[in-house]
Amino acid sequence: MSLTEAEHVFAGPHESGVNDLFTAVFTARPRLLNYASFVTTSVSVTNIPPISFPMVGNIHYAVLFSIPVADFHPDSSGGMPSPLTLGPGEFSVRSTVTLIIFCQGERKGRDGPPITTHMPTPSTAPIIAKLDVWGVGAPVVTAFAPGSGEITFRLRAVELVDVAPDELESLLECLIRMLLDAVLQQVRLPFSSLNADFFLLNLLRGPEVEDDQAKLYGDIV
Amino acid sequence: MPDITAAVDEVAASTLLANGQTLLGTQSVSDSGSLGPFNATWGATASFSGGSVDLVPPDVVRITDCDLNYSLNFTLSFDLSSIIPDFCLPRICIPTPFGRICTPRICIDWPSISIPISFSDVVKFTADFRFNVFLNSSSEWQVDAVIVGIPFLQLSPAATAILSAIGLAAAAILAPIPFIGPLLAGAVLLITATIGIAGLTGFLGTLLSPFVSGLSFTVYKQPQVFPVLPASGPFDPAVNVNLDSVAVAVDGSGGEDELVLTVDISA
Repeated sequence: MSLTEAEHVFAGPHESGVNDLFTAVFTARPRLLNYASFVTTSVSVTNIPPISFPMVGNIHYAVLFSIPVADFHPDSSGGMPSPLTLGPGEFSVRSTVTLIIFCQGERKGRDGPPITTHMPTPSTAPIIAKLDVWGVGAPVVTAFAPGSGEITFRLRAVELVDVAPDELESLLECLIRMLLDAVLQQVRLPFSSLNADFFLLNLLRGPEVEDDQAKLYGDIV
Repeated sequence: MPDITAAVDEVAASTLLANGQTLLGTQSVSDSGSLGPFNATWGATASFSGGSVDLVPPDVVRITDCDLNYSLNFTLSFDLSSIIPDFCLPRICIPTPFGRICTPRICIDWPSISIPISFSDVVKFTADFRFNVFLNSSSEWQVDAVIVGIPFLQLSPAATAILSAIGLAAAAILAPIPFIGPLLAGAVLLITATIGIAGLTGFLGTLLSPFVSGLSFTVYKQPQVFPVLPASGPFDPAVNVNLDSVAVAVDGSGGEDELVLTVDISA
């Protein structure tokens, strides 16, 4: 079977290339991975609103992801936890998420005064939880016009490792799936990066995830 | 497996050829020079149109039946004054009862002669190319098309007639030269007649192939740092990747001849 099959143009980024792309995107724009309520937005971190609760005020927290590593179907990740399964057309992604919360009212040490400030300070001791995250999903194409569009990545399920009880695991998985899905959605690969001075890619099929590649089929405009 | 594999079949390659011809547009070049009393100015414009791509594994891209539309203009000027001295008729004065009557001084300034020649025509050709991809000194991936051969090149009857006329004119000039003139004239006539016949029958390309084989020209350049995403606001700088290696090949193992591009990247 030829690469272009029934179409005239083929483009197939390998999972290693997509991981290089993830590394490039998240290294240049780390704020897409890092969210915190107690800093202003910068290249490194995106500001998010704190959790407001009666009688407490603002509860400050942060969510930090490591650069995701993708694996295209078939599964060659070596250790995707059950019950996750990688179906045809899907990719898996693994990352770590670091949850940080600045707990108010706690004493710093047995004899220290209660911490009552609403904004964390260097003296505020954060509580940090670092979790391994696995997810599965599929690339999604949004075409605006021939030669114009973008490819994004969406998650359908997430699995956290070694979290108990199950209800807490499910709750956290739901939360992390929404957050990591949002992170991946911000990686938008425009068709323009596949175009050149003398052609536009008119996507007709794909991406079809198989053979460790995301296969795109189309024509040239 | 490479980080990115891309392929086009012959249909898409032909579309790329047409797009490339449009992008290239009409190229023009002009120059002038002098040799003794002769001055020559010339200009040429050329554009490509039509044709299709035939991919020949493992690395040949054949452009078939492509038209080279060209226009030539050539002006040869010759300053007669440079070889024939200008001269002046002397002034003559005649004494008369009414005084001296003088003729005016008349000078002859030999003119310059210009012979303009303009010609437009179409050459249909089939040419084989091989792509040479390399990282140049400016950190750009440069794609050069290297001419492998010209299996077919056909001149129009008009171009062939002009070629024959040039041959006849040259032979007429060479023939009077003592001793070797007739030999040179015969050789010129033979060469121009051979080119003319080969041009009419399409075999001129075969004659030219040994001389143009290996010539190359740049068809594309891409900086090694490839922009994936442009900068977007103060907190989202541009995203680039490095193109670590780029290779081009023609592959027919899948049952269809395809031009295959493989690229390795790094963050």
